[in-house]
Amino acid sequence: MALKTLIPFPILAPSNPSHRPASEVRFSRWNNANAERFTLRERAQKEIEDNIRRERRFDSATRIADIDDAGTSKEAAAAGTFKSTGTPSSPSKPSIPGKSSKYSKNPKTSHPAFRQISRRTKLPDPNISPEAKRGISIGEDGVSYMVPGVPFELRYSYTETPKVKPIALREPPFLPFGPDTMPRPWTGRAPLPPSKKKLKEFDSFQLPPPGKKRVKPVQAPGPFLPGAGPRYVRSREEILGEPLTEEEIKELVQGCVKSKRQLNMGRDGLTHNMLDNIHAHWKRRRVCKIKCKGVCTVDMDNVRQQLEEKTGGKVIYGKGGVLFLFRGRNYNYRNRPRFPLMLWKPVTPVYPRLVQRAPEGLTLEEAGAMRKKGRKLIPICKLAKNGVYTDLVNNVREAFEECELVRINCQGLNASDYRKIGAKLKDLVPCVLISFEHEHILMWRGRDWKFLHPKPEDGCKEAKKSENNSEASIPPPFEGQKLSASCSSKISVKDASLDMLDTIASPVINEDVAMDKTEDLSSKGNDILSFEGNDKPFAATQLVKTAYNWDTVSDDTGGTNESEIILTKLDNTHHADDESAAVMPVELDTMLENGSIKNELMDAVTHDMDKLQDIPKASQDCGKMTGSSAPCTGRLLLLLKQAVDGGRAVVLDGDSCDADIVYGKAVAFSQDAPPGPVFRRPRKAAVQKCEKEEPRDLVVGKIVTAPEKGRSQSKSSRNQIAKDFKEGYLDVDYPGVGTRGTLGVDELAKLLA
Amino acid sequence: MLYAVSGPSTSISYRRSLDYHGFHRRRLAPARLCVSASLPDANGIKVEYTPWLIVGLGNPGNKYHGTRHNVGFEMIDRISQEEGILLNTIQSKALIGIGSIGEVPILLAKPQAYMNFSGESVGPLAAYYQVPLRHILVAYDEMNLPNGVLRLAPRGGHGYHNGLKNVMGHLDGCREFPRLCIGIGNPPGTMDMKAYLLQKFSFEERKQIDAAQEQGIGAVRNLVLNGFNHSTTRFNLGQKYKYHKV
Repeated sequence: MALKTLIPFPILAPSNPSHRPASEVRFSRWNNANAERFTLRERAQKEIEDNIRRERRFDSATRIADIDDAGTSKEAAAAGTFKSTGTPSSPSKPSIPGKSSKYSKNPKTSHPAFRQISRRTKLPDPNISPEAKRGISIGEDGVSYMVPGVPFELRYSYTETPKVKPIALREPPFLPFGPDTMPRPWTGRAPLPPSKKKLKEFDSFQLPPPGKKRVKPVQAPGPFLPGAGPRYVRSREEILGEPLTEEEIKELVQGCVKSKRQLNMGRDGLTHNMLDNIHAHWKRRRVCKIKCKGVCTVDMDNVRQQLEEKTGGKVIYGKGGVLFLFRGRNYNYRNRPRFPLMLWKPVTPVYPRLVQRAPEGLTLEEAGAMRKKGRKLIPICKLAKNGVYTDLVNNVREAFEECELVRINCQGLNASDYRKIGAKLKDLVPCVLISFEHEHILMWRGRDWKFLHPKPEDGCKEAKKSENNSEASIPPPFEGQKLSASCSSKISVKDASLDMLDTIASPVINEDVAMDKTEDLSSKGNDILSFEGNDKPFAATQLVKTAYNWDTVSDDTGGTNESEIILTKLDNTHHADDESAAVMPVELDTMLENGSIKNELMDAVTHDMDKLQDIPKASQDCGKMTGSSAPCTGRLLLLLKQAVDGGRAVVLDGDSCDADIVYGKAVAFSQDAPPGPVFRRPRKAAVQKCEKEEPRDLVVGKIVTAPEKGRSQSKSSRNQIAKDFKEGYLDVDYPGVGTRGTLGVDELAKLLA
Repeated sequence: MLYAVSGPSTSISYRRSLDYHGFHRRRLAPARLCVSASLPDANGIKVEYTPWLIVGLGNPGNKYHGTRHNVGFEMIDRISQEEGILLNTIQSKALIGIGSIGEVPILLAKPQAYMNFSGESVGPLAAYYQVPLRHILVAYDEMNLPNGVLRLAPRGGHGYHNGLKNVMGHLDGCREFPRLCIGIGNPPGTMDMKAYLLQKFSFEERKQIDAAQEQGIGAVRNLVLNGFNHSTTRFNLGQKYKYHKV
């Protein structure tokens, strides 16, 4: 009881609601019998209600007892709601508010007669024409299913269906989809109870609040360019939105590369149900990662194209067998295209045989011979089971450039797998399948194969001729021919090759030295010239041309044969007319393109060989070659001479061809020799600058290495380059414009300092 | 690869007197600095004059003669025989010989340092003769290719070849030099790699390698004269599939 004080004074005595003396020991609360008298007694619901009822009874009794005025009560009563007689009474409100009894009804519910129920009747879709029906069509592209309402034909696999008309079906065909007689998708179970039937529709643009728990993570709709937002659109291009920028692509791919959530594509390729899986992935994430392994990787382009077409997404990145499929900036799961799922594996059609006994115009014997050859052939590659075969087509095409028959080792794969691979290769690399024996694929190039690198026709012919005429001694006899002055006079200025010509032209015979030409080719060139000079005067340019052309046209054949070839050619022309002089240049011109002339030349050589019998063999020692007499090597020889003089190099004398002796000498010499220059990588900026300033016919390397020759310290060279930089910049441009982007940080600092 | 610089076509036109005897005495025209000047032929073909350095990697001495690791040396020997170039000079720890293929001067080199130190001879040699990086052709043995298969590559890695690693290191860490890879095949089973490399070839392999070297010479000649073009690709393809023909 509060003590009344004159002035309101806070009473600081502690109020003790529990009437527990403070000094008393406290016992534990739970299940302690002794503590019962100290625990608060909570009133049960029944007790509370009894209390309420008691109070009301007493109140109403009090009110009856305390009626003051009949009039006031009447007025009060009259002021209340008026109800005429016969009004049905409304259900009494429960005396305890909130308690439901049989007399109270849920205030929200109403009489069924007054309820507003709208049942939406499903009208037939105006888009579907009445003629379109569910059905199976077996066409050129295999088996496909028509379902009304779907824009394209449905198939079991969109990438792996062979593009051949099947010849039969193993079983009577059926539509592998569920029945279309009910609005809900067929699950094989009873319909869900009404409480569970209504699932909240998933709208991709309405994300759950970020803090909400127990909700699966959903990625926000696609990356939007600044100033754009998600839009509810229906058409494919609109959903895709603007093409993605490179940074966006990079971001998306990086986020997805390491994710373990992926779809696998195997030997059946893009199946119909996979479309639904892709949309399920897109419900939660923007990018769907698809990993392709096995047969479908042979033609990744087709896979990509089909994916984009059927799903409406875009392949943003693909490497090897992995594809990343982006859903579109404005993709909404709610507006996705709905297809019926394939609930059963459809009928397997029978396709015509892949390998015929005598394929494509070959006779049986030819095919048999090919198969026999193929058994001994080494396969070009081995395929791993469920591997990635993206470069198989290219490899096979390359191999067909060289060989007619190609064999691929498919040991370890399923038989159906390697047959499928074979079928794909047949279409992509246009080729002919010969056999599948011993788990290998044997293919033939086919008659009309388009070569990517056109081969010279001389290859086979040359080989033939070289077998016939293999005389290495032709050059020396012809050398004597050089002596004819008539031709030599014609040989005038042209090339560096003139050097050779001059030696030929010199009337001095017995030039062993002359024979000590750089290489057999040049000497043969001389031979040609000399030979020509013998029979007919030709313009020097033409002669030189032959020599010159010959060098460039040189191919895999041995050097000796070439001379024969050219000589024969000339001989042929000689045997012709005087006009052959004119004909020659033309023929020589064409020689470049058409090496087949070579074989004619070969013939001529043999003729000539018979002719020239009285040739002095004095200068026959081809063996002795100093090898450096052409002017083109002049510079090198000069450098060598300097090296020898400077003590860096030593010329070995005699026949010290023994490797051990050479090694010993090299070791001994290197100990005394001064260290050589250090090779420096040509710097780009210095190169550019030097190119600009100095005439372009200087060797790039020379410029760069010369100033740095002998500099063993990299720092000094870098300083040199910095200096070059500075000069270059001051001449041309100011730094910062960035024309030469190789300016290092420290150089930049130096420039700016 | 064709660095076709158009020098003035009249710059290299000598009028040699017809009565000059001494072959060794070449008159070097003073203007003849332009090593890389191209000389347009009447047909319009331009040929490079920048010298090529062709190096074969191998171990010196008779002990290692004919082993797998020394196929580079054998290739150089073949080229020198074919082109008539004598290897008779020792410079910078290598046995070198100067010559030319057509109009292009070449420098053949066989480093006499052991394989792991080949770079010590190649680097200074290239620097001394001022051979640009793109004209250094290294011939070496490649285990990734089957026996006898050649490949001309414009650039590449070292493929765990110690000699090539050393050469790359001494060429200032550059990988962009062409190479002639001569295939020797993988060691069989679990054979030690080093033992395999220092073995000599078997009889059949020897025949294959000899045939390959013949083909290789032609390819090198073509490369030196024309650079990397479609004929090189054809050559590579031909080599890759040469054993797949029946």
